[in-house]
Amino acid sequence: MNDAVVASASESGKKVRLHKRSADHPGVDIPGMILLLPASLLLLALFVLPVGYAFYLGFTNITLIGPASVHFHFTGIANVHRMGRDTLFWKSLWLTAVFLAGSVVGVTVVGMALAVVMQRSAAWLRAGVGAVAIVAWMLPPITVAVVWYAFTTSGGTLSLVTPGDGDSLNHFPMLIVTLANVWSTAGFSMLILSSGLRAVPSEVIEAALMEGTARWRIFLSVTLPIMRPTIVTNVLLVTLLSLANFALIYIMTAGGTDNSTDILPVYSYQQGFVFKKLGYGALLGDVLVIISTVFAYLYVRAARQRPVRTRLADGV
Amino acid sequence: MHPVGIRLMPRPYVKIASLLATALLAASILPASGLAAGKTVVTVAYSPTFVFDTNDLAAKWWNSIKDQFEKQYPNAEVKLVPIEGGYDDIVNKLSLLYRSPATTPDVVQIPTPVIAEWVASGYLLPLDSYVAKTDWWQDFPQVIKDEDTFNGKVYAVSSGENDSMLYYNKDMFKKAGLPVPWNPQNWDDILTAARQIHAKVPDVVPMWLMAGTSVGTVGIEMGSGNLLFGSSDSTIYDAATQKWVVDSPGLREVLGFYHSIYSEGLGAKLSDLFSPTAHTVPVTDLIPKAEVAIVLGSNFYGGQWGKLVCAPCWDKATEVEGVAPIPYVKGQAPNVTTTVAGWDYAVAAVTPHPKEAFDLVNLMSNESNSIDMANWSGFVPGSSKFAMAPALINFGPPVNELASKIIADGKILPPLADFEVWSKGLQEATGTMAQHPETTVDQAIGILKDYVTNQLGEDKVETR
Amino acid sequence: MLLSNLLLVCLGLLFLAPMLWLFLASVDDHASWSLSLPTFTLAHLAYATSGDFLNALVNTFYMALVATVVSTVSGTLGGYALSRRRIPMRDGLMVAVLFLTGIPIAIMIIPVFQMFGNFNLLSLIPTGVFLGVTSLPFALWLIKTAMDSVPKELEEAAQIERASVLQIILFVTAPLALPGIAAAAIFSFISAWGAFLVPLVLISDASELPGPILIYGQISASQTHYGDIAACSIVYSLPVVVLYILMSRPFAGGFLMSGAVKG
Repeated sequence: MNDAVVASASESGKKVRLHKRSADHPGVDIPGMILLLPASLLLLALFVLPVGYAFYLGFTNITLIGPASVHFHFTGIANVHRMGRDTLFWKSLWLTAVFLAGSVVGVTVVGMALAVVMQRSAAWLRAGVGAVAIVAWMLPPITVAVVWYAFTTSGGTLSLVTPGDGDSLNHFPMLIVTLANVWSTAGFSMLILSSGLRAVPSEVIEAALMEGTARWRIFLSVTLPIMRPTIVTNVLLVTLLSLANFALIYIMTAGGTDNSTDILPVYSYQQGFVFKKLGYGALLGDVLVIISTVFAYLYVRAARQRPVRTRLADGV
Repeated sequence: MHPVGIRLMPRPYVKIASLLATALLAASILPASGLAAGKTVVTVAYSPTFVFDTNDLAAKWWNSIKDQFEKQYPNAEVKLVPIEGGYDDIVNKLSLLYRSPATTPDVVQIPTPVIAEWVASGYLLPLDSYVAKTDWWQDFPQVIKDEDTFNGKVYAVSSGENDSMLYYNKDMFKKAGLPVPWNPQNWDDILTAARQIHAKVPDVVPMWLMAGTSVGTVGIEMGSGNLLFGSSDSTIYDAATQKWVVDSPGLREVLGFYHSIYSEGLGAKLSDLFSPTAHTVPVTDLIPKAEVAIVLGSNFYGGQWGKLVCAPCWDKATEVEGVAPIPYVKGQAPNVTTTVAGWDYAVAAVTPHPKEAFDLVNLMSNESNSIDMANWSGFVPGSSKFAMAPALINFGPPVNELASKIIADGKILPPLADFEVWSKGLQEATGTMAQHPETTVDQAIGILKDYVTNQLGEDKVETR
Repeated sequence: MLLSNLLLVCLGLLFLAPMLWLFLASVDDHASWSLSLPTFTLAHLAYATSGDFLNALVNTFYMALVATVVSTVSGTLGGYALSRRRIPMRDGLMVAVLFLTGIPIAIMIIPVFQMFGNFNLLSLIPTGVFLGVTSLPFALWLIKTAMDSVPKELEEAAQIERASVLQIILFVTAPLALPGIAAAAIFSFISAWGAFLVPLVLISDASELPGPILIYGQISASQTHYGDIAACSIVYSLPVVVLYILMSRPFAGGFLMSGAVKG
């Protein structure tokens, strides 16, 4: 299994052509283009085009309702100026960063903890807890929101062990929302990280053990470095997933947040759909797209990196 | 050598293919908008969960309307278009639906505060010629007619109004040595009562006062808006300067009241105030369970405790719960303050069948349907005649009677798009006061001022 | 091993804790947000499996099915093209496709609403198609990487036997890349099943609303039926969980094989 993973990993990194060019089709590969047509048309019409149009809308004064909803016009960078002056926008950026950082750290730590602990536990326990974590990941966003609202509101399950009025949701909204996100993503991370963990060559570990190195030391200085590409992949995927997680926060805290959980997707929705300022909301969405693109770019770069394993196998 | 895997139709594919075919075939037979040939279809958009006291009553009323209409007009059909979600979601969805004639409903039940924006977008049909021919429009008091009139034309018809009053628990008042019946003449009277409850009746919330942003502008309607309209300066939007008021003696009086309530521990707990159902927590939980002494609440509570609505059933309602109008801050005339806001019927400007559309509105506005709508949703009907009908008064005593009486003293919140921004600013301020009771009035004013200035710009705000 | 077992049990319980309310409230006659011993009733489960909600579940299923078919079919054809055929700027295209996976759907809502509105497509099936397109980038990438690791000798042999391109895809490459394709299909299905914002905006006809919208409507209703919310949430989440259990082998395998894991 490990070898197959590594083999597939390195193979996609290389650009080896194994089949010869067909002599019947020099130049343009018509069958190939035709095969790609459905996907390309769909993506162009229903993905690229809307995103482009949304980008444009960010520079207009369109509103959801009112005269400007029908007759709107291009306003240049007026919205950008507004965004620069908008203290809530900067707060929203900051909150987004906090949410992402918290989620990534939380998900990675929990996912790694699960992966590591599962390595040396009973098979039935592994299957059971693994299933629970995966189920938590599978749950649709609204279910997660409902479950965590009930869990953290006054009188909910968590309030049984917290002091005061037990209203964790309203006292620590960002923390609770981040925890909910961690809970619902950790299973995914567990999957990725445990296969990464399994791919760590056992000979290296055993060699280190025989030299008398403590387990935790091995973990820190051998296992983690080998797993670096996996961890990076995991971090970037979790970031993208969390950035897109509008539904969870909206459903959980649309009930009174005092702007404390107004991450960018939520603030953009608020501007567009509650204050009806669709143009400004679209611009905020554009910022979101730019941020996501940066992370997607980092992910692409990381996904094309050659595995570290080959280097270490020689060195150790 | 034969390559592996080349067969004419491998078994797994047969299974998958036939499954897919069946599924897609079934999907294509999904309920299409089956139109009976030749009938005029009138679409009507409404909320199945937010307006009526219970979802069952909403279904009952709307299905009955459909039946009545189709019986009365055999060549027409009603298509019900329910809109899910809370107040904000309903307004959003309607905004989206109206953007294209294909999705615009012929008739809609829409909240009063947003009608002006719909008119400004050119979405609504003027109804002057239609209402002139009805027998109920003349009984609408001027203030209710005015809320639907823009640029001299009538664009909507009230389906019912909400106003606010003070509810108080007579048992707790007696225990605290407070007068029953209770007739507060100014805000100090209210505070005194709350303080006395706090001292003499422990373990209950002395006063419920809406705070925070969880239910949108409804929170202003059922909360601070009432107080502001009874203060020394009730201006929210200065029409003369076209600016939003973010600091005024009136606002300071209101926030001062909030400060007293929340800093002295006289308010309700946060999880109730900030809940998405904060608008119904008092009527469904706090009052019937005797957990709160005074509630600044809406008139729709009245019918909910009766046998029909039963949300919840509380047969002790009339003996335990008293009502009183909200006074002005210092007892100034007329010493009754309330917001007035409701839901209205409107017809789309692009409707292909305006006559049938208004026929539906006319049907919904007749006496029996109006009174049912009012009783089951907790409204005061638009017509002052229906508002005094025994069927209504006796449905939710003594609430409904008071509600009908105080409508004439009510004021309307600014029907402007940016009211959403101003109301969120004020509710951020009140929410902060509830969550951090040590917040001063200056700080609260600062929150409102900063929020609105940030969203609308310095040139759109003023201090009075 | 004992320590690991203990730790794992603790982690497992922490994951289960929030779900506790869901199970208790769904059978509790006096359900509220609080955790309490239930007054047993089956009424909520009955509500969640009949009438309006059952209709909503069926809607969700159709929507997710359409999304899955759209993304898997075009993803398989396109993935094969990107993997095996000479496509100009292929690497650039792959990178562009990956970028698309990062774009939040919320930003596309208004333009898509306007487009669909103009062509009278604001209903269930077109929404399913749109949801399929939003999972298409990831599906393309998964399937293409899965196909990359299918040995080309079999295809070459098929080519010698004069098989058409379509036959090669259907009968040679796809079966061998099935874990990856299955992973893409499952991903699309689960994404569409859980979709909230998109159907909220694009679907207005009450008879076509999917599950999450109904549940959401109940949360802010004048009269909140907590037990119904809990029961509906369970019933609504069940198919997805079952799907995972049925497909857990090929899914996990497909994920790994697709090169999502490095190391």
